[in-house]
Amino acid sequence: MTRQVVPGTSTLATSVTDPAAVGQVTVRLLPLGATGVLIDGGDQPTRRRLVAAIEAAAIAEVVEVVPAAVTVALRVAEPSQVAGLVERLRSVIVPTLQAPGVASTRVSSATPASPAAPVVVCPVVYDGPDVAEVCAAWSITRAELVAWHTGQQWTCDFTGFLPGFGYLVADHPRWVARRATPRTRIPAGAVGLASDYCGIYPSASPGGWQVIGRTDLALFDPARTPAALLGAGTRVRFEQAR
Amino acid sequence: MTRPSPPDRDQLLDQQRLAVVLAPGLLTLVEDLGRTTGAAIGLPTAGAMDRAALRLANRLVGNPESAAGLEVVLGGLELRAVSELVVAVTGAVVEVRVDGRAVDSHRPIWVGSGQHLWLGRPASGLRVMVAIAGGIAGDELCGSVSSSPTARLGRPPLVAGEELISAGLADGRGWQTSDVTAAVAGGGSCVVSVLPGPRDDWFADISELSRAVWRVSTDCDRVGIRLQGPGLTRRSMAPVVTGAQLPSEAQLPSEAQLSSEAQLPSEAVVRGSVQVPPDGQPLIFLNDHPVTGGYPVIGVVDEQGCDRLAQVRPGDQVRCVWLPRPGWAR
Repeated sequence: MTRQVVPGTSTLATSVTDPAAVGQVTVRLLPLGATGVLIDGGDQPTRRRLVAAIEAAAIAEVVEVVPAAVTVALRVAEPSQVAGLVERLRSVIVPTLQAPGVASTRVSSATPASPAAPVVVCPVVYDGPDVAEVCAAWSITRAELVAWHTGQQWTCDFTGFLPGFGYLVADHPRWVARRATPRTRIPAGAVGLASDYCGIYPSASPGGWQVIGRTDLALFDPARTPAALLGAGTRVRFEQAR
Repeated sequence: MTRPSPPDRDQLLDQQRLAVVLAPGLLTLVEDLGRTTGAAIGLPTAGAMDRAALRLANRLVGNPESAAGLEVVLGGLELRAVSELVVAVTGAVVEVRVDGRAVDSHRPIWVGSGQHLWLGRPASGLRVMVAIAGGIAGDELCGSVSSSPTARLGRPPLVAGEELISAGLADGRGWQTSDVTAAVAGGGSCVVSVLPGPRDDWFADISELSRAVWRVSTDCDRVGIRLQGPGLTRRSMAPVVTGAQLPSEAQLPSEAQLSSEAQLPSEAVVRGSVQVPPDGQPLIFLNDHPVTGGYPVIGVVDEQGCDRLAQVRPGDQVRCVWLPRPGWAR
């Protein structure tokens, strides 16, 4: 399998991976403003390995690392430091990709949950404005949607977006598109779906997720320890509230 | 030659209580230059929307540039000093009065104990910055006391009766300042420079962004500004990124759905990101932006451009100019 690191270009690069992928996988380095580099790993397992390698490399000029679904963004303090960062990244990423990787097709490859950590239970009233649309997309009934959501374990893959927000993956995921026009305001407590993630809005925010319900659970409280209930690896179960 | 300095600077900064809010104006927040960490737990950068204005106001009163001041939307703030203050008012140009007497904005102003500081309403522009010597104290979260009201972080918008306490920031520079300041009215229409990427390759013709005259919609706040205009066209057959981990029972989108509504997995966004949902109307993220987003970002407005956007109102015009790609990304 050939892997390479290429600088971001304006030419199109399609990257369709499938569980038995053999061949070329490209990691792209893209500009993110004057002081950022967005590393696009193309899939979640690659992203996890990239994040681990970058954190292990402890690159001095990096002031912030933001992992997300298939990417990780790095920020430096000064624009003049970006070119040097890109060179350093090449030397870190290429060996990471060449090392034998674990071929993984299941979401169980998500950041493993700590067995001792408690499961966060989230009570949900399933009356969100997008229930009908999601059910239509999947050709299921509302009762089946609730059963799918509550009947399995979810795991937090990574955090971000908002304080307290976690991107949750399911043992039996389903995929739904984001809304074409995002809403200006989704209320705090909204439970939403987008691509194969579930997320709970800890506070009101604009967003394009499909809202299926709401919860009273306080995901973020700066006065509480820990301030955020969800971290990478936290397990979550939903239950239907009345 | 040093300026004459009636009150002793150290005396001023020993006072803990600075002022009482008599009238908060439309929306007044305590803002510093924001945080540099905390993205991993979803904390926005926050901080003053017009960073250049806060930096200037702080220099004028002898504070470190990152000291917390007040961000006042559309003026109207009135304070009663409870100790001797040195204040500077920058950002959108407003009338400033001390006990009814007109004083200059964009200069250090002495406000005696018990005197009233009053700000008018700007004729153009949106946000006025007020710095007070010593800085304004607050609870720090990841190194910043700034407020993000949408995320309910930091001190809520000021109300009448609240007190402002000094942060005690003295950097020993005295009253000397090398700034030559002129009150320049902002807002109305502005031109901003945009750095390409990360997802400019999702779009058929990036000059659609720079050719259009965009109008600021009523969706305009610290999170971002939604622009109205001819819309940005996606490239057909946009890249598909499907995870290798999707099991067979996942309902994958059809080809037609992909080209018009191709989904981008959520990824980091930064201040100035020009995000484009499928409807083609760009949203420029500003200080209280969410840490990640799932619509492609065609480019990022530079720092000076973001400061200018802090002063635009709904209905104002915005034009974009592309900057060249950095050398490493060509």
